[in-house]
Amino acid sequence: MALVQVLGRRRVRRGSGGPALVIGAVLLALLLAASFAAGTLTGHDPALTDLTARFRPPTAQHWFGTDQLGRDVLTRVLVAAGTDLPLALLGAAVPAVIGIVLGALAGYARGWIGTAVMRLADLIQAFPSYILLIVLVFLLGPGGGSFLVGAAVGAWVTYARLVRGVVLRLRELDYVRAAQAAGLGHTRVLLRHVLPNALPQAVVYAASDIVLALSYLAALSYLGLGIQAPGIEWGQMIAEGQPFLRNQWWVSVMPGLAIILVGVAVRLIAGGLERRLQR
Amino acid sequence: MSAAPLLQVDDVVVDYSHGRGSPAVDHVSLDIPRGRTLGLVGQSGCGKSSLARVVAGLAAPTSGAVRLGGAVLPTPRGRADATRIQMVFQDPSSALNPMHTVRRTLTELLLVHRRAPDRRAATDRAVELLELVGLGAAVLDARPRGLSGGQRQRVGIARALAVEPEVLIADEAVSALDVSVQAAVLNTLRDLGARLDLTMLFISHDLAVTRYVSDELAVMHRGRIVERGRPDDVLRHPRHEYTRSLVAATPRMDGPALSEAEEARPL
Amino acid sequence: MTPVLRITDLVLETGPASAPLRPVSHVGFEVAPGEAFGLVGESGSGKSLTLRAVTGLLPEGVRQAGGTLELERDGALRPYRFAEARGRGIGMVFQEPMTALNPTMRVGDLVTAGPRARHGWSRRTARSRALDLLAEVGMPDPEGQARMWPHQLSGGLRQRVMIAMALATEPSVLLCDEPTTALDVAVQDQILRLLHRIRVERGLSIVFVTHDLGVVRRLCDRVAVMYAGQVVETGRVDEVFTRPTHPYSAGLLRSMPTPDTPRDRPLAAIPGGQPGAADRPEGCRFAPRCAHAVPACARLAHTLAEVPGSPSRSACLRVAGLGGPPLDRRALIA
Repeated sequence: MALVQVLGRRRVRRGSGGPALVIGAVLLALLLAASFAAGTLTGHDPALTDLTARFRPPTAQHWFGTDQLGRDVLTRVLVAAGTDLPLALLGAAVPAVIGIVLGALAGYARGWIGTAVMRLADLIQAFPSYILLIVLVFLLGPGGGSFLVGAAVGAWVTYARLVRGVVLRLRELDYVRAAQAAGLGHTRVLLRHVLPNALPQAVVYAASDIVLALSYLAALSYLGLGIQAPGIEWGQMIAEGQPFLRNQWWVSVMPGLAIILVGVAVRLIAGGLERRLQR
Repeated sequence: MSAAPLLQVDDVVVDYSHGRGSPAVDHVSLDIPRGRTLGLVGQSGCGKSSLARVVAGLAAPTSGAVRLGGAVLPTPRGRADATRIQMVFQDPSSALNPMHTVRRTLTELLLVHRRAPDRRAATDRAVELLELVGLGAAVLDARPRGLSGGQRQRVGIARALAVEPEVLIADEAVSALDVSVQAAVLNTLRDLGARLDLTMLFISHDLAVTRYVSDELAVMHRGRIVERGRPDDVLRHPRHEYTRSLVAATPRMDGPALSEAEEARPL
Repeated sequence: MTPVLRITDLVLETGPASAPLRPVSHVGFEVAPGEAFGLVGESGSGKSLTLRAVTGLLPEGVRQAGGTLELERDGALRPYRFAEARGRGIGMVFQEPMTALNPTMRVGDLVTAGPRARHGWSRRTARSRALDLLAEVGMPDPEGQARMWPHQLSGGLRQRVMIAMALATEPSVLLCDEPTTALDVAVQDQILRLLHRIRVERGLSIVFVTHDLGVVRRLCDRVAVMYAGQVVETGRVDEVFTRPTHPYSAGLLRSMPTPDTPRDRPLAAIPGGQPGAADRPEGCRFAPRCAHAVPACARLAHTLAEVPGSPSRSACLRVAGLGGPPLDRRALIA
């Protein structure tokens, strides 16, 4: 206890997530910006096929080489970022928002609302999440919209459980009691006093979930259930390049590296957020 | 002392056991005249905190009622009644919203309950409140973890006073504080009681501390009030067996160390 | 007589080695055989960390950066190894018995688990030793309670079990970290009387860490008062509590309401608060809160010195006559 006192009085600088948060965010922002200007940056058209230039290995002219149709892989990887990143962000954010709202309600109101939410959560958790996603997308038809619906249905449960647990603990704290005793309405207490203190953990979790959403999307596309041509997407690119992996590795490996890069950036962001939001 | 009681606790029972065990609060009746402080002493688990929550309107009694100025206060309290009884909590580390600045903690209440017309006036009033509890405008933009335990507890008192309550409950409000800080907060509470003509219910496990701030003392044991009287009478001539053991166990600085005679007492 | 435990110049550090914080700086004391020694201070004073350093159980991130720790062995003080000392020599009693007792062992097994493993006692020996110990710490029904689980016992009984566990290693010093703080007043009183009896009967030394002056008054022979990581006053309890030689000890005593405190005037509070390890002033760390501070207080380094006309030692340079205008210790409690 004494130690907590000693250390607790050290001033912890707030508002700084350290360099990790900045580096991660800059990486993602650069990638996104590059995707919009891909053609200008590389001087190639992502869709232009040139059968005379098939399978060129990486050179000064084609940094990432060309694919089986002679298209510039770097340009395509960059353009795909414009599809993958927004979908991955939404794929993490949509279930997070749904889960946080339902979880907060379930924790604060308890009663039948709480019970209903948690039974629904049990039901959904009975299915493996990959299977649930694939079945839903199969039923709804391939595409980005179906992916988002599928991701939201499966992934909100974790957030709901997480936030409900935190809210159950917070609602017993004195400052929440004090707010109630002072006659503040339930909506205000929930929105101003409970939820903001429950959010940090969910936000950190959602940040690391971006990678998971990205891998789900890539996996769907790989299976042919995700983004359809002429749309360009990393998982789809990997699938297309797979038959040539032995000799023309760059066709699959370059989009794979892009996914890893995003993974690293997201990890940095999540780690930075965690340090910043931790009290 | 003959003034009509402002706060009346009327035969309150709090029973979590649904009739299977002894109730946490067992038919307790108390009354406090306006402007007076009633000290409630008891060990942890004696039911004093359950009683405090009922009086504050945070929990409904199993039976019985809380009256203010003669009229029964319903639970949950309506918006108008909610501000009439306020509470200062025990644990300075959880009593304030960690994300809110002191300014926000105080102005939120002032604005919601229309104790101030706008943000500016609310801030002015917040500074007044902070000065009242021995702090100043300097802490306005601090968050709880930038404050010491004693400062947090003072902000907690200012928050309770912001809505101009008629009754203030202090539930172990100084127990978590260091001795040297506790004294200053006790002085503030006593001083406020006199200046604002506050009616107070001061709850503590510490007999000496409670005696110091109270006009009247009630001793609670196993859910019941076992003794009640003027503080010095209770301490000097405890009538109930439990009170006697409490008085005997309260250390005195000038008192004896453990002696041979005490060794002989059964453990 | 050789002390049983001596701590000299203990320095504890946290944080980066380049810019460390010192929650405890140059703390020293010694404990005589059969003596009860109180280490008293408010939270953040470093008293609990000091005790944990003695047992080698410092929390993560805190390291010993200086000082020696010695235990008596064969008539002489020697530095000791923690693991060895914990098995014999030193017994420990913590504040929260529920977290310190293994919940998966029955009370009877728990009490003698340590020595049984060490000495290879048979089940029978361990059992009869356990019953003896449980009886010694005043368990009302040793046979019955030996078969119980820790969670089935009340807080006071759990604390007795922890004391029995500590005694099972036949220690020469019992280290107690706020063992009565979580208990109700009446139970606290019983535990204090139990510790007192054990000490008298076994000739055991006790180091008792607490923020509660009343507890020290009842149990201890000598006391060291800690403030902001340093000892500011040390001496016999009857002296320190009635004729303090440091403004902080005097302030603590005066700020505590007792059953006899006059109710018609304010309590004598000490203004401000104890500085954390990161923002301690130069010179005397209490000076910013002290009514008797003079400019010299901010300059002179901390030292514990004899006080003219008093058996206590004080870090107040004015009272000890080390600098600044001399201050009579009687002025402290006026």
